[in-house]
Amino acid sequence: MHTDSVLQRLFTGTAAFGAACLLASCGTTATTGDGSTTTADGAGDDAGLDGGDVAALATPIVDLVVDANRDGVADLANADDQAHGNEWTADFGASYLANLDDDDGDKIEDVLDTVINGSDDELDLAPINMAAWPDAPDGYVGVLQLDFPEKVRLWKNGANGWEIVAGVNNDCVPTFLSCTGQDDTCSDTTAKAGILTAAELRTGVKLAIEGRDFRRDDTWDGNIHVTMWVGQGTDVKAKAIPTKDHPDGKDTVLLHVAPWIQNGNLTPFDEVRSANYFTPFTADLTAALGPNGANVKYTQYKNGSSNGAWNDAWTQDYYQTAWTAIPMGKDAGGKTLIHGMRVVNARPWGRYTSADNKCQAKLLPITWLRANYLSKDKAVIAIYLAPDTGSSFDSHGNHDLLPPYQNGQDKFPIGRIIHGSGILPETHAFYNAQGPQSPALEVTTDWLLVGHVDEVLSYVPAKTDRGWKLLIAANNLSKQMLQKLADDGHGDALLFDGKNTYDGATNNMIPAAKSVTATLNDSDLMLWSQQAQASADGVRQQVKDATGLTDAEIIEMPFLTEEVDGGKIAWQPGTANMLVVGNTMEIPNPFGPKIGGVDVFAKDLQDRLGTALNALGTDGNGMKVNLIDDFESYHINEGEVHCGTNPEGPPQPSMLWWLIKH
Amino acid sequence: MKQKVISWVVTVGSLSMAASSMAAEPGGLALQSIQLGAADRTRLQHDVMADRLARPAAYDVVAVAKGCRPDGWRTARTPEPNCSRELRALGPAGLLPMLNALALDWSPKGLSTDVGLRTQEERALTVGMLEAIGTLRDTRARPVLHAMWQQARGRADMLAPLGRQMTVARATAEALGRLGGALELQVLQAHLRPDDPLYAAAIAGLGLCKRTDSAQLLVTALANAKDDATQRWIVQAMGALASSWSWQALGRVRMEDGLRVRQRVTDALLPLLAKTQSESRERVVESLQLADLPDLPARLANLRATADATLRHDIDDLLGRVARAHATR
Repeated sequence: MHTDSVLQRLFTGTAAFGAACLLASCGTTATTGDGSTTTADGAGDDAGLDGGDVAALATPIVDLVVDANRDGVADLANADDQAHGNEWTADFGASYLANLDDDDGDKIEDVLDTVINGSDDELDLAPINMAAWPDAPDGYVGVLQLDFPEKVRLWKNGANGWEIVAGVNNDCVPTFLSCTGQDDTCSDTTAKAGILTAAELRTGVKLAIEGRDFRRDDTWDGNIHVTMWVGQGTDVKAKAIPTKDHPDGKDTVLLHVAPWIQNGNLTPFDEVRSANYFTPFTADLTAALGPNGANVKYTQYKNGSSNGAWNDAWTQDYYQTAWTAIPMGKDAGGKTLIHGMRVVNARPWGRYTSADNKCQAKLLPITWLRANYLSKDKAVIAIYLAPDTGSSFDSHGNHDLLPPYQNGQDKFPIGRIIHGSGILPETHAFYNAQGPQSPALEVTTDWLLVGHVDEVLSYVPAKTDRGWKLLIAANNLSKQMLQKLADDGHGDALLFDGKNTYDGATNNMIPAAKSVTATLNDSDLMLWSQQAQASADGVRQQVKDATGLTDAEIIEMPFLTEEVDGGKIAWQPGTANMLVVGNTMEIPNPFGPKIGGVDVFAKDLQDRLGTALNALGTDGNGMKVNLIDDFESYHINEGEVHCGTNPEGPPQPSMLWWLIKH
Repeated sequence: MKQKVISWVVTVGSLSMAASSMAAEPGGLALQSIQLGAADRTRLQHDVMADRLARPAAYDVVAVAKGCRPDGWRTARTPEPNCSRELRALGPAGLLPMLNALALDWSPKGLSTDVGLRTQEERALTVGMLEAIGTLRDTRARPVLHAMWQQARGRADMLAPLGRQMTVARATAEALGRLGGALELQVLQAHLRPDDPLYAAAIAGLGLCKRTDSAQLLVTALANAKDDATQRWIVQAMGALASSWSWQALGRVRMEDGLRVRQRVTDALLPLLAKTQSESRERVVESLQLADLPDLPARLANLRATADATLRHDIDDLLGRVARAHATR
């Protein structure tokens, strides 16, 4: 921030001497930007003076600026950048990215190497500009301090190009990649001392902050303060030279870490992934997501563990898609510009083929994601504290996003994270630490066998004031529809006609069909379904209480429920467990009873979702309803379409997270 | 789970040899066959013998239930063994193979070699068979279920909860409850003391025992409940017992019984609405919803008149649930 540019000469006696603590880790040996060794008092080779020298002291220029006005530039000449460099409000304040993508394609996160990997990597750093002090005498040094040196790395672009000048270099492979939980591959955990030479003070130097991680919990507020002192000899920090603008002899700027922003059904997705194991499923999805449907990229991977294949068909579950970004000003048309990256969050546990290989890091989702997802502007993180922890609740089908809403004083303009029961505490803490989409809403899902919120809830765009409606599992409606069929004399009509289920032995299949009458006369199925209705109604009330949704904004998705091992699971295809991409819905084909060749349940979905009846879709004329055959693949293995797919999209310029109070 | 595996001799002529062999230490997944009474054991052995000759493949199915084998459950959405659905899919044809596997002869195939995982898989198989057998409501299962219940009290492995999953004791009690005879009521009732290790299981079993006297037993248990958690189990069991949909499925012949149970449960639960909070109240709301008595809305309206704001909110929620259940869509 601004300082006087008038050189003054002062005699400060012993003020220039003494020991200094330059970093939070005081007294450690550190390395200067040019690689020479110094002690933590900051007097490196260039300092040239020892405590016995007495010199006439100049009034230095101590001036740092950050991109406080969020136009993408840290501008020394900009009044807002100068005036608001040490604040974080809705109106002003600089932010920075956790630089976890891999711009050079070496399959190592950029923050885990010690170079700036070209211009793409440089873009991921938040600029800090430092005013030149052209008359800086020999013997003077600049000292830069980070209040949380383990959170970021501070780079300088000096004579040798980009070098780390402060912060902990730390190239350790993170604990989440090690089954032992050990950081066992570190080669450099040295804390850099934050020294700028006299030559660098004279020319000024461009600095940049690189985030090493997101905010994890409430032990840190996400702010990094960078403070600069200038002086000579030893004890620069303690005996800083006052200037007109900085009587305390230091300048401090603040940068806030950009949050992890979770995707939800209303996110403009551009790609959907799934396994390719099940032909009817992928064929239906190919059509639904193609040019005549959602028109997004559809990527399939093979079963296996090499060359991009993966042995987990539950694509929704083993990672959560999200993004992060910082503001970069506006274009000529006034549209906000951002820069950021996609950031997926890996589940803590993998699918093991036997007990013998449990806890092999190669079987963890993060290992596959690093090998197959990590790339330019695509990052991978682990929120969990230890591998092979958690449970089914920590699969990401149990983690979703309520679309934007306001309910009284509660405002969630870019949505609110929602999750079901039982997730790891560190995950809940992480969500709540992000800010704009928190506090996360927890709803009760422990009554379900699998336990995931996506088994009962989904969200769909609507041309209403709120802009969306809630879809919810409705055993009530299914029973009523079946009863009407029976009352109308169609009791013999078959559900699941032509579809098969496991008979218990290997992969042998037997017909799954059951008549309407037999279904209604099954007292166990009816009990389980009514219990599931009651539990889902509890979830419905939790969401209504949080959001203020009215019943008119809730659409019931009919299916009956059964019980397995004390937990509930969809007996008919769970039609709430669907994929929403733009104005399309990829819904499990219900394979309901056919009357006159028409599937009554499929027609119901088309009538209520695919027409103007419920004002769904951004134009209110209904969604494009695509039925996906998942019966003999996902349905009989405890899931549906949403479980088997995972959509993602780029950082969203319309989601101005920095404006959101939380 | 303790188990004794024998080779099955698949000829009628060798029955005596097999029986003799079993007298040493024969048994199934859950029982030693000797734990069945002699007459019951012989009858079951004969039934199984004949059935196995007619349908040998069904016996293989039970032995290799996919959802309880590691190559099956490791690929399912929830990474824990369970095989109730596929065993239920066998229908009545699965009864004797499952009784055989539980009590006479179980030759597992493809389970994990890891002891801990194998224990989970065997528990899931046992629970799966009990869930499937229960839904068949076939009295031929009675000797096996009663024998399992008799030994459950002293079996830590049958009582121990495993995560969210059901204990073998509870699955046994529920299968007994589904049989629903006077004998089943009697044996479940015998464990309705809070200090009985089978208390929680017996409560759950009564919730599935579709009899008017089950309702009275649960109401009494509710009155004697000493803590919130116990109260919640009982309330939940009362809701299951009173489920209007389930009674409707039993047809007109049971309608009167159903109405009496629903009435009794509603009478006991309505006063609890005002006396409970949060999770406990939610269980009461759910069970009243399940009972779905015709005059519930009117009774709720009366209660609402003197309710505080929180209770009014919860009553309105319940009224909404009931209204939706009966709405014409």
